[in-house]
Amino acid sequence: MADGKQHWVFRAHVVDRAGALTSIASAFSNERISIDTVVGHGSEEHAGVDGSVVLTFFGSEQEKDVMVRKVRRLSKVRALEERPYESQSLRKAAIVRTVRKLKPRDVAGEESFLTCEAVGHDAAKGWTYLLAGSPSELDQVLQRLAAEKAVTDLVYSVVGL
Amino acid sequence: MDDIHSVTDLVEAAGGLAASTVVVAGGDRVEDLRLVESARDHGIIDRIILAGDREGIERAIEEVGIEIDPKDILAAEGPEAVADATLEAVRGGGIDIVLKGSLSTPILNPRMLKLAVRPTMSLVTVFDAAPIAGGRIVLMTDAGFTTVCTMERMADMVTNAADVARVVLGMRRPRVAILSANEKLIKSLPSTKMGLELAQRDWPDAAVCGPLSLDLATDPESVEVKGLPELPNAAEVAGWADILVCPNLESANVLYKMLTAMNKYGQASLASITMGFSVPYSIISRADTMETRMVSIALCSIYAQRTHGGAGQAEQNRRA
Repeated sequence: MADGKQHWVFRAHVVDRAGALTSIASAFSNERISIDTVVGHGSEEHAGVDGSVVLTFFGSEQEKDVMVRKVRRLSKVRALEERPYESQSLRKAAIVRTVRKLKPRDVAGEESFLTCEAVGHDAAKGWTYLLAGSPSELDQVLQRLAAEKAVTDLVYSVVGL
Repeated sequence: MDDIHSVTDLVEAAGGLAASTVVVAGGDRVEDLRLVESARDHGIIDRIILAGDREGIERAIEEVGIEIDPKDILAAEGPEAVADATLEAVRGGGIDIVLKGSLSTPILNPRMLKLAVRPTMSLVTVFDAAPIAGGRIVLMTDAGFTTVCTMERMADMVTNAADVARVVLGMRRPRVAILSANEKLIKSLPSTKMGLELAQRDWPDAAVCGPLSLDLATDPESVEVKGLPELPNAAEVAGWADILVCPNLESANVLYKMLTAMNKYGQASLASITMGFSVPYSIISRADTMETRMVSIALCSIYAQRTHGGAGQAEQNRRA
């Protein structure tokens, strides 16, 4: 990006997911870095299973490095993985509603086709699809479909690694 | 107390206790209002009293968009009057923490001395830093308050720091290292003599050892390499000190600034409280990071709530 900010993805393996979310959010807030998206997985009900928190944010490489060190030092964080948003090792899934049935060319990324599964259709709401692929490719496809006014609703999206 | 494994855990711990009332001495600075607003969001404080120039305060309130009860603005014209208003607010009861805002330290501190309840006031810093003591929580003193470190003042500084260790971190018998540049008595190095004399005193609630260099105080490997020094309580303290008492303000300040630089790099966290007054006094610097400022408020609030049950409890006690 022109201002030197890149899009980053953190996945923190945590104990006490609710507490970890608070402390991670505080760490970002203290550095005046806005979290773009955040999703928590796992639950304390499953004894012995740690939760995880996946979040995305924009920042310079230097800001990302500071946040890596700060988040790794939080007592509720056991481990942290970090990737650039463009990394091919990341996967993003999205549920979208469209006005028309999607064709293979609709879900073609630059290097590969997205996984595309029709999960619902009704006359009033149109088609519902589950799309999955690398985050940057999926975003390109979503932007293209939005520009064509083919998408009526982005129901949900999540990044994982 | 078991939940405090790192300094940043103080924020959550403070939020789990009763919320405190803070008075900001010079409450017309935007960054201070953002800090107390954030502390209120975390449940650390619930009432914010601003002493200072009314116009300046109202301007800052508008810029931050913070909600302040109009009766919690203590309007005063001129620095001396602002310091007096802060002092009177504390004396009036109901205040848990004094936060130094835009009012300058040379104006505020003489008023604060009127609230002294101990012979020595000192700055106690709680920190964790990846390269020091294996990253566990350590306390240090005094990086910014006591300029002349006589033997008695040093002894009082040990007491103040040990008090914070016990009240906030639940350390029953904190291990205290009196720092110097060497662990042997050296005539030309007065701090070694002071360290030994302090260690030879009777400390019922702390294990005090000195003089110790920083590595011998915090690093068990250094103790293994150099050997256990022949000093009082060395077996208990060397390599495992919980409290570092620096020989003077200058050395403490250098260590503090080093920790601040590490904090900005993401390798340390620190929080400070000024001890010796009827309420915790926070004199965090504008150069400190938002994290340090927030955690310092949390530290002050935990100390206030655990010692007085907070001002609200103190008022209830008075009424009873």
